Amino acid sequence: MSLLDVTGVSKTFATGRNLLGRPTRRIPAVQDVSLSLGRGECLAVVGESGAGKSTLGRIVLRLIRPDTGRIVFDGVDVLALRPREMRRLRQRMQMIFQDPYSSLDPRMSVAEAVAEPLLVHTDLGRAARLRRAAELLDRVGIGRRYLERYPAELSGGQLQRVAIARALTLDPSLIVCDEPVAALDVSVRAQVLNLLRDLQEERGLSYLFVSHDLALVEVIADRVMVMAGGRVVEQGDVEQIFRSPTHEYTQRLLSAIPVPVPRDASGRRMAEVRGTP
Amino acid sequence: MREQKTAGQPLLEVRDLAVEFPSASGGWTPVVQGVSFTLDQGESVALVGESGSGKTVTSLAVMGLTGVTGGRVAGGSVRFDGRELTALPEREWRRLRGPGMGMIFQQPTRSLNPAYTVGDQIAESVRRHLGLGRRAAWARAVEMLDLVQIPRAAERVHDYPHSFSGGMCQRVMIAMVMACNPRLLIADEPTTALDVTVQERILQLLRDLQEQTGVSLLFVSHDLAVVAELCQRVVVMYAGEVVEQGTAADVYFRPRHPYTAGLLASIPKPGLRAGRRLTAIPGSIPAPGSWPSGCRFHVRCPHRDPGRCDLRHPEIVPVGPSAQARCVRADEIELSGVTVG
Repeated sequence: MSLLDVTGVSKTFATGRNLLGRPTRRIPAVQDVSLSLGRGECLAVVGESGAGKSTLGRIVLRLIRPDTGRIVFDGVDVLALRPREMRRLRQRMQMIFQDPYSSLDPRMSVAEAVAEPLLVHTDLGRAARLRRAAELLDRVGIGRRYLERYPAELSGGQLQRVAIARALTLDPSLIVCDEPVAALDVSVRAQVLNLLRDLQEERGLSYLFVSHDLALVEVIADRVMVMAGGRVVEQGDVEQIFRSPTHEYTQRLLSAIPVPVPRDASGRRMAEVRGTP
Repeated sequence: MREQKTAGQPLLEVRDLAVEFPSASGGWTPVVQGVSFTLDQGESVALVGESGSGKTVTSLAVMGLTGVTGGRVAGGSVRFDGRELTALPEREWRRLRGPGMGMIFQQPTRSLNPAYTVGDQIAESVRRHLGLGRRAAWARAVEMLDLVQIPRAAERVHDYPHSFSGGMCQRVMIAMVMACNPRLLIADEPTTALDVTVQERILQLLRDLQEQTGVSLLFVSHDLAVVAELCQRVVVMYAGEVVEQGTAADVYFRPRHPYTAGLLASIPKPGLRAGRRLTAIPGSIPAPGSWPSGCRFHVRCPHRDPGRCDLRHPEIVPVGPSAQARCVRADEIELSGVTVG
């Protein structure tokens, strides 16, 4: 049985108001999207700005209510839950955002930020909470000497590790990763992706991995869903999407991935004969 | 066509540049040290490195913007077309920026004024820098929007920045800078905030502009995959200094510094699926003020030789006809670059 089933969700945002307070523009952000995510599986949602992929991620967590459609998480009808029930369910569905600088409270130390969900959702005492935070931070590669530091003292890659540790505190089943490495340097990006991949294996996590960059998706995803203009234009296994994409839009996204091979004076890719000095 | 003052002289020559910023304790912390590179007329050179490598600080020093950002040039020289810039008075700078050199940034939407049409902003810039009259300036604005391949330029010139997408805003920024006919365009991560398909088109636009106008390009980026699209030479920076430089072929196919090889290996390659792991450089770049002794990269380096790499700070030395590297083991170790086919 799958962990998450989304059926026919749509969401239209109304923007701009006229003098009577009526919306002047309606933007269909997500249109009739369905997906299913298995336990321990990673589904990548790929598309350009405005494709509706981030809105979809927020709909899944009920941070945005869809106009129509159904969301079933582990057998529970998410949209029918009362606020208090929803709060309990949220422990099992977490989110990691693109910008760790704005997703962490600058006045909270690293250990406090990671321990905070335990304060809100459990009866654990302070010492137990901080012990758990230290273990998690250790697991994501943030050493003990950083526990009392503040976000401003950490690099982007370190902050994203802290955000990952915080998302893990309540032992979730699902993490929605919204462009988790887009703001990071290439070298650090690889570290964080490898970490997400290892954690998924260890803990049987399911990921909904939202990204505009198909190049990253191949390493982490089992399946890929390509969105454009709020709709799903193609979905399939990661091998199939990369080897034989059928939709023209997917092909365009793939061909736009920059290739690290320099061009010669005429603009053609250089072909290096191996073994030259 | 523009004339070069002296044949064979580089357009830009940075030598032993040192830049410092105020430290928390009240002193000055070196952020960039001993940076030297040149850029020829019409050439495109990349400054590559992670956040904290000093690449942006270096490019801002070239633009004479170190003081504005709170730092100071502590030593070295920046020569543009044979002229020393490090002690140039601000009045002279105002004449040089625009027709001499212009800069575009990562966040194009933040660099444009939302209260004026894009036409007004481009026209204002050319009136100030080139002294054109009203009508000529406006005509220039339309011409420039057309040059950066914005459709229906004559109509779009009347639009405000908010009605342009991120990619289109970056085109407007490029139009505004190119309107003054600069000899050098400095682009600091100009495509990092954009979608990949938009990035591809902006990189193509920069290539087209170079071909059409002969403008030289200093391209600042953390991403060697993007840099490969348009740069002939690459300068790799780490912890405030240049660790390797050479032609694109040198750096991509025959990297001589382990940091460069690590950056190349971090780029996701198609077909990696089998292992499902990316090669990463362990650890993170040290902040200015806490650079380690010896080679600044040795803590993260898979090839470090304890007793040697951690003791003496290595010089940057020639490692080929067009390449330099700052690694004492450059001749002892085998590094792999990108492979084709």
